[in-house]
Amino acid sequence: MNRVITPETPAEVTDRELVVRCRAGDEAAFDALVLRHRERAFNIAYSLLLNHEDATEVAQDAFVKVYRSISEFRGDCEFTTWLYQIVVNLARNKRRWWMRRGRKMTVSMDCPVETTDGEMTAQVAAATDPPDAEVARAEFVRTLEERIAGLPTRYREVLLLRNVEDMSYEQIAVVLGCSVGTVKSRIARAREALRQAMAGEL
Amino acid sequence: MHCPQIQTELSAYVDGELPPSIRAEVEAHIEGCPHCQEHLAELRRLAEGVAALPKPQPAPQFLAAVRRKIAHGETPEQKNWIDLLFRPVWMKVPIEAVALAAILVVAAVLVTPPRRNTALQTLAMNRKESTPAERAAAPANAPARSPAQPVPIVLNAPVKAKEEAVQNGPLVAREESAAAKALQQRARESGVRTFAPPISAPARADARANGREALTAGGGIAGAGDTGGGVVSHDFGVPTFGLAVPVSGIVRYGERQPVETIVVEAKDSSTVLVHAGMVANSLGGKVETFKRAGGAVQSFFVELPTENVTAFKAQFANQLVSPSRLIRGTGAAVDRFSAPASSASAAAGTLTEERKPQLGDQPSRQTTAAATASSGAVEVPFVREEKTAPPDVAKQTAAPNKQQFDLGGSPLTPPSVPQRPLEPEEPLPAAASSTTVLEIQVVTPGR
Repeated sequence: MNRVITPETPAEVTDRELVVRCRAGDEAAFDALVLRHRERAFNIAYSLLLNHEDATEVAQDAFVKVYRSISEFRGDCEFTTWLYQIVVNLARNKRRWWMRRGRKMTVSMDCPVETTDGEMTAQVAAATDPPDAEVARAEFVRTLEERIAGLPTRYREVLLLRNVEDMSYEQIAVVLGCSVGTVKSRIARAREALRQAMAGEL
Repeated sequence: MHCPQIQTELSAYVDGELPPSIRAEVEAHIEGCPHCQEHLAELRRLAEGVAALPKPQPAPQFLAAVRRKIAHGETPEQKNWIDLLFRPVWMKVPIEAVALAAILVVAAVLVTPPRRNTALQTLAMNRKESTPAERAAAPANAPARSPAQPVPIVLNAPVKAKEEAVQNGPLVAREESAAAKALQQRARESGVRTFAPPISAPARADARANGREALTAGGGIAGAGDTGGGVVSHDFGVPTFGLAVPVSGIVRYGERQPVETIVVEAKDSSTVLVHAGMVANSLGGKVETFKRAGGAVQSFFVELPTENVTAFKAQFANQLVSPSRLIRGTGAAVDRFSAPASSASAAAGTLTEERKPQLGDQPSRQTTAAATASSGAVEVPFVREEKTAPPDVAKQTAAPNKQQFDLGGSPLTPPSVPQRPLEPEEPLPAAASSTTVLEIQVVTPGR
């Protein structure tokens, strides 16, 4: 089989088509799905685990699970919804796994990141010669990131899914396995908690 | 809507998730409410800030790692077995408590002796099942029937003393089955000499003691025995893993109670056993041996098809080799449920002195009404050897025995079975309805 692995899978090829090809045994289609969604899967995992290593493992495991159970995916929701569902569940399991061992989930901006060149520190990209407004905004986002990390996970995950992944309440409800009403009220409470945590910064 | 209500909807408003009607209402309110305008602005800044959060990039070789995991057959659930070891305490404790309870239950089932209904346990059941009302009534009965009541003939004082001791004794003694009381009392009223069987007093006392042990130590042993003094329905013992309440001395004849006892005098009981075994075998029967607790009398059982009993007795008697000789038992046709007065009389006349200490000393622990009733006939030889009973004692006691059985109205233990501390060597299988059980006693001569 001629495997074509390119990150730039044509955008016109939909997830649904890739899934169909993947179920038919097209390995390249699976690779295309991984390349297309790895960042989002990793981001969700990271937002829940706040740990680069664990997030990587969870995101990879999520794709392994996708590969193994692609035949069970009935296509009654978006592929991304299904993928995020898997990621969220695996991340929750991982969280529980760590909590049982008494490990505190802490934010670490400079935890080592494994790259092809060895371990290096993850750093927030900074624009060169930023204007004052940009500096202030970067500072605001950095503070916000810290405060979000202090929120309960159930708040953090809905905020991330809503504003980072730009998912609808209905999609979030599917991913989290709860009702739309729960999503709505939870997002409202999460924002209220974050608003109070950011008091003086807004 | 007022501000608090509006503010609960503002979050969904920011996300564009409000239905049009509420959305219009919210917008109308915000127009004229600076406070809610400020709140909305904060929420928007928050949402934008969250959307602008830095997105950490996955490690390079992400796809290769996924492929490697797939190739190695890893599954995300692989570590789950480890989780079992590290559950939080709030989960661990209940799980382990349940597991421990389950283990204990299984262990209890494994080590608890199966149902073994002996006379002793029947006593225990009697005691357990008697209601408070019955217990209250019991003391009232006791003085009415015994020492104050004139007993026509008292054959020997120690016997009566023992009986009184029993009757005035602990509650358990008075809880002996109603049938037993009725039988004794009826016998007295009819003016017939009734012997408080010498065995029965210590036996009952003994049984009481053991019965308490059974009650306290024998938890879990349930008996299905009757409480009214009829036939004790015995299950035959199943191996009890050494945890059964000790019941030595209890004859667990159960429903295989021998209908007749054949007494043979022989030097070597094993010869008689082999002989009986051969005869029984030829007639479709079999022999069950018992280990005796002590004493010279050996005893075993022969189970036969009922129609072959007569043939067995004839062949067995004919083929006895001298010096073995038959003392009694093969002549009379025996009704299973009636008292064979003739055999009792015969026994009274022929039993040797050696039987006395066995009968008198052995603590026979049969405590049911059947035992009490039957012991009257059984103890005749003993009484006679004491030289306190007139020669016609046996015949006179045989009659009340019959009467007692009629009174009981249920198939009682045949009185010809002496109660001995027989210990079944192995459990007898349940008898088929068409078989009859004989007991063969071997008395060693010259002692």
